Amino acid sequence: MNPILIGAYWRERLSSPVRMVLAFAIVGLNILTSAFTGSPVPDAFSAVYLTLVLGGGAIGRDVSSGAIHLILVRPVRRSEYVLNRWLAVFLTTSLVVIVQGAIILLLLLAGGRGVPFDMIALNLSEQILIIVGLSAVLIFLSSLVGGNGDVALFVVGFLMGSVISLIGSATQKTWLADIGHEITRFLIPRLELTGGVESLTALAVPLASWGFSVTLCLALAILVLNRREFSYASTG
Amino acid sequence: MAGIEVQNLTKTFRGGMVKALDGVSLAVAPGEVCGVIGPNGAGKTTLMGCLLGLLSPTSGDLRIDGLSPDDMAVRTVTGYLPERLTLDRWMTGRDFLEYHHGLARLPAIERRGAAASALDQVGLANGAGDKSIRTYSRGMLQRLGLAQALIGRPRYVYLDEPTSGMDPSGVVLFRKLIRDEAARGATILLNSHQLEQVERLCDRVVFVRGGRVESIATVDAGATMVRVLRIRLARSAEALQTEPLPLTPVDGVQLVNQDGAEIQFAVADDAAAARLLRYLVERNYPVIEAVPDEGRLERLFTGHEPGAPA
Repeated sequence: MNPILIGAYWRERLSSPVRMVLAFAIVGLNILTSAFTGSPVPDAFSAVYLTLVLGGGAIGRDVSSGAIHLILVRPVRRSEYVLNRWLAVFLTTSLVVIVQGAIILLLLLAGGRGVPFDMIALNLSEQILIIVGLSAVLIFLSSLVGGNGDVALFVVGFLMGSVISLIGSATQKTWLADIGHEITRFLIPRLELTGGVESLTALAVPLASWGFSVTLCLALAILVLNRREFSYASTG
Repeated sequence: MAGIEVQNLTKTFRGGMVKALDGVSLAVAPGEVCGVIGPNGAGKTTLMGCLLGLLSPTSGDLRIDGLSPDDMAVRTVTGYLPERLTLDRWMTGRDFLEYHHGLARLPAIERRGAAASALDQVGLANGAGDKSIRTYSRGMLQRLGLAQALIGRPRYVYLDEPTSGMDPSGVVLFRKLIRDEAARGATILLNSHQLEQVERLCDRVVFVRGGRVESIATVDAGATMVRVLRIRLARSAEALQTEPLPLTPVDGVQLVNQDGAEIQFAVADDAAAARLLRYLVERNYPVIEAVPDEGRLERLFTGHEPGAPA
């Protein structure tokens, strides 16, 4: 863990007005929804939006701007850079989700409503697992394209997976629907905890699958960055 | 030997279609200031990219202190100022230097002091360091970039067009900093199109063209440079009703040649040239042009000196 890299990433994100407005809008909407409906847990998909807003372009922006040149000539290994970008993205987003959960909890307590602590804890865990997984996916995509192109790739990939899945369902071609599902599940690695976990054994396979997706994305990102060359030189 | 050693370095792009470096061999001794000059597309920046580990050589060998450029021990003692400087514009100048001090894995306890000292070194100490980088002018950015390259007193400093966009005072400051760095023993590789600057600062100059080292010249940095100033008059000096020109009209100036309306003087420095012009104008010489003759590197570069690259 390199606190210098992580700290600089946090500050860069905080200094972006667009990201801050979007993040506040998502969190504000979740809190308002909970306040009005009394729902103790926000929509799980809001973790996806938050990760996209706070984690988009984590590597690609450094590559596009050329700032990565000055980082990589320092004693920072490329793998270290990738892993610290991932850590920075998921720690930032997780922190926001935890604060959001705490505010919702306080609102429920203040309103005198019953608070299902176990449900809140499971939902929070589920959201953090989504954030950790999606951060790894975004880091991989960001190693491939410059700027915020990772977010665009994610959206295109997710839409493509959903459309394939829909076509598969509509035409009753299970294999096609499965391909679509696999694409979307790869893009948003998640673990269903709120549906009830029967046993640890039942959780082992999805947990291994989730862990495999995360590890694969990070390994691919490191591989891409290790093979990448950085130069301002004209190559004719 | 320690220092920078490059042997038969070749770098191609686009699957070998573009050969940016073609068998470059070069040795830069520790503490040497080495200039790299050549036309655009000669391979200067590619050479620097390979030395910094940003590019992988296609073939050949690169050693810095006997180690690969990718070695973390090498990176710890490396400073780099790129040609196209992109800084993290959301930081202040001070934050930026502290950030790079941290990335260089230098002791945290020295961070604030090192950043303050670096800002002072490049003339950004008067509050400029606490302003957001996005408010900086081109020259200030270049100064900050230079401070970043020099923070932590690296043993190897790579500078790619370091004075691009700098005002004259910045250029003077830059020269002083490079001389100071050389005096403390830093090995400096300087890519520049400004031949006069290279001539003033470097111990040796490498001419690169078409991805090859065409020649390596010793330029004896710091030696007093005598330049030739050509003065053109509206009429020939003989036709003027003025006293004949003395051999040494003012301090630091010597008459070299007089041919009709054109007179050549050897001048020690810019101040001597200014004194000469004042002298001539005060004595009613109708000066219509004063052109500095090209320097030695320029003559070498353009092929007008024996031993120059073809």
